[in-house]
Amino acid sequence: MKTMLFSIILLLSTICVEAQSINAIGSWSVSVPSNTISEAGNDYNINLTSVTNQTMIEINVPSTTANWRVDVDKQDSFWNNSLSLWIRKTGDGIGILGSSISPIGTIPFFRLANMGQPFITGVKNYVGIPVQYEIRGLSVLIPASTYNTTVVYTITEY
Amino acid sequence: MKYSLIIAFCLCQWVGFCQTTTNTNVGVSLPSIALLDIENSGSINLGFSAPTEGGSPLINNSSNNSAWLNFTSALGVGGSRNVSAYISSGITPSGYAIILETATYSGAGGGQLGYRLPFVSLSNMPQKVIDNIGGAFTGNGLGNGYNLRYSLAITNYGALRKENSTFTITYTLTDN
Repeated sequence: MKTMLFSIILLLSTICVEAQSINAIGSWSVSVPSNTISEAGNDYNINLTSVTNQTMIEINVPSTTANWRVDVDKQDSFWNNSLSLWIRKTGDGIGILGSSISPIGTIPFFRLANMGQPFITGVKNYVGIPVQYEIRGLSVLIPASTYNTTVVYTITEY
Repeated sequence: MKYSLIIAFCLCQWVGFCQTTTNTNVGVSLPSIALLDIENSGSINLGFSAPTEGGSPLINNSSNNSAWLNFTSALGVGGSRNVSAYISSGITPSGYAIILETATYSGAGGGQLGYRLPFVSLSNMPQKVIDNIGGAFTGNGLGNGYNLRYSLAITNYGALRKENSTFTITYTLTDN
């Protein structure tokens, strides 16, 4: 009986892993041009903004009735806390028949944190959901270097 | 019964909390920056006046503090910079010195703005006037940064000659 139970749990786990998938295609690497500051005495006065479809998200949920939610957070590999990374969705992508997505269209930027935050909800499969990033807080007070973080998208089917 | 409950629990987990993640990377490179500017960098005139009484020294009451030193500095961790000044053209004064006084910082800037060396007798060799500058910006324009005052000091009456001399003073922001 125990063997049977273990087999069922293992089977369910396998089903769970294969039940859904999310892909985020397109990373973003940007350098601040050294001539951004034209007058001695000034600090940066800019934000760095990616193209509107810097990352394209693809969602695949085999269960045709499945609702899904995507949360997003960032995991810093080498980052400076004076820098902030902002994100927004700039479109809806293409969904299959009967699909829906919320919120619709372009949403305002929100600041990414190291804990998951709700990003998108929807029903059924989507491709090409465009995502844009913005980096704020640039300052010459931040040591000159290259800073990296990983944006993590988590899909939950419910 | 017990196994049924366990299976039901597992099903709830499967239905309610099944998650998958994907990642993408974001990177930003901030450059090293060294910008220096003198606000009001035009010509200034300093001079001595003849005394009105025989036996009195030359009258030396001219100075000029119209110039402000602005800079922006961005650099890697642990680095620092300095601002130096020297007479880059013109004959080194004979019998008198050009004195540069650097006031304390004031303005709308921020960061590691360094410390000043308040009194320097300028020569044709670079001398530090501000040191230990880190990531910093002074603010731009008059009233921001370090105010510079130029004046003259007689060092040797015997070497003084009636003359008009023109000097160029050059400032440099350099890595330490």
